[in-house]
Amino acid sequence: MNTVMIKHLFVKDWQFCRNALAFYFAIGVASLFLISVASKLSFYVGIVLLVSILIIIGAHLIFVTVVNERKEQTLSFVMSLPVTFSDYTVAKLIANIVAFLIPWGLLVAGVLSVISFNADIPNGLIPFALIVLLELFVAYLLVLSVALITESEVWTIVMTTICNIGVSLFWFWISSFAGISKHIQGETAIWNTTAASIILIELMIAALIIIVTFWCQSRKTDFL
Amino acid sequence: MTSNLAIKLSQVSKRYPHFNLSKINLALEEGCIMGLIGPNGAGKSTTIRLLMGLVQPDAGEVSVLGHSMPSSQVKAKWEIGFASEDMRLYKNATIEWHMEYLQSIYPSWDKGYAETLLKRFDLIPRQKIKGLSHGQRVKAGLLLVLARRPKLLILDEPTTGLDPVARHEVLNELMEVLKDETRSVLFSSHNTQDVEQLSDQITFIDRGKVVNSQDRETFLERWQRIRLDLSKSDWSENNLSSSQPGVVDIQQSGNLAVVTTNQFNPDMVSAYQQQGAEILGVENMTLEEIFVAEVHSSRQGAEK
Repeated sequence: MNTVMIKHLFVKDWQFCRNALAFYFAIGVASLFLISVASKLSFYVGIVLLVSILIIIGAHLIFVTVVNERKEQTLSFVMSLPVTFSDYTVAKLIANIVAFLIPWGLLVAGVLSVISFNADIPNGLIPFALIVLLELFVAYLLVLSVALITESEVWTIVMTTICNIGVSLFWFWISSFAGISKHIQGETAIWNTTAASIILIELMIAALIIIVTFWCQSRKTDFL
Repeated sequence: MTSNLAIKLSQVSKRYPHFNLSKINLALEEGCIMGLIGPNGAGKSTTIRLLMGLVQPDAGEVSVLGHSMPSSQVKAKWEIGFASEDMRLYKNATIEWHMEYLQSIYPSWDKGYAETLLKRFDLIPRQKIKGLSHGQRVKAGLLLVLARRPKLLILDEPTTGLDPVARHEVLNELMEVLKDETRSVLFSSHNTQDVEQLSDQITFIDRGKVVNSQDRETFLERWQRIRLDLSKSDWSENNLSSSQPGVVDIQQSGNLAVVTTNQFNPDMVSAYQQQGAEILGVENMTLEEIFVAEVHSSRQGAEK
């Protein structure tokens, strides 16, 4: 693997996104504050803001590092460097996943901490929150994969829209599992088979998306 | 010998739904400059993409600086400077950022030369790409390519869309670069003036095929236009064309005829004179006229 050049491509993408990520992260921290305030309205506004900011972070990363690179014809510049298309794919996946996971991880840790340490919010919400927030990561990977494979702005927008609509549907769907819903209001977090299975399936889907992306990209013969 | 060739394409084909590149053979010796001329859609950019490993050929072999493409593209690309008309730099980044980025990648980056080019091209390093004119963008792109001191320069339409002043600056810099006899250059253009000025080898490409590839002097010497007065002879267009090899076009108006040949030699003139024709003149053709005649002749040949 061309690790030297993959690192250079990673650094380039990180440099282009870090300021925006810092800005979004600050909004994410503000949403944590709203969640922690002892008010139902503030809690719901905070949750909506947090989910929105995670979706925006994902969309921003994908559009700046993948879609715009093709649309604004800077991909030719990248591919003139000593890299193969496989190197490009690896660099894009690593840069995007790392750049997403840093704010996502910090904000997820923040949410779980707020739930744990705030007496007004039941700890039973923790498994549900983790499942929902993990779904945002999986959806992000799916959109990233579509952007890389289709090389199409339109398809990326379509998939982003589908995933965003899917978030609320996913919440309802997850709430319908008895193993999840009956513990949400509980005082302690219950990590039963249902919760563990859903998390495991989410992680498996994430891994599958990455594998399929590599497979599809490796079959391409023309890159520009 | 592949080892002395900067570029070699052997029987390379690439098929698209509406365009085919057919059995391209091309060779560029190290230290030479080849101009690739063709109309829009002729296959120049596809050929260049094949050379850069961005497109995989359906058949044939591509070798660049002794590296097989696309399998060894990483090794080859370390030594290639590539710029194309449709390549853009990052609009929100400065020229300086691009220079520092490439400097961090290429150990061969020549900082002093980059600074010289900045001044010569009148570029401001802290200016963002989105604030540059087209000419400035082209010059910035060329700077980024040249300062890494590549063994092989591949330039796809480097002067397209430039105003005369910017074009002059770019061509002058390329002329400077070409003084280095170890550096090979392939550049495509549909501007025959640029190609005539820079190249020592010229390849015409049309409809996905190499129409002709020779050194510049051979093209200019062999392609001539002979003006004849036939009033003292009884020649017709048919026997004018069949009497000499290499006649590609005859324009006759009354007793005056203009014969265009791609195999000119002084014996042709003597032969016409001996048969009663008066020679009004033998004219050199411009590369543009040669290109048009080559393409015209190739298309007629294909239609027969």
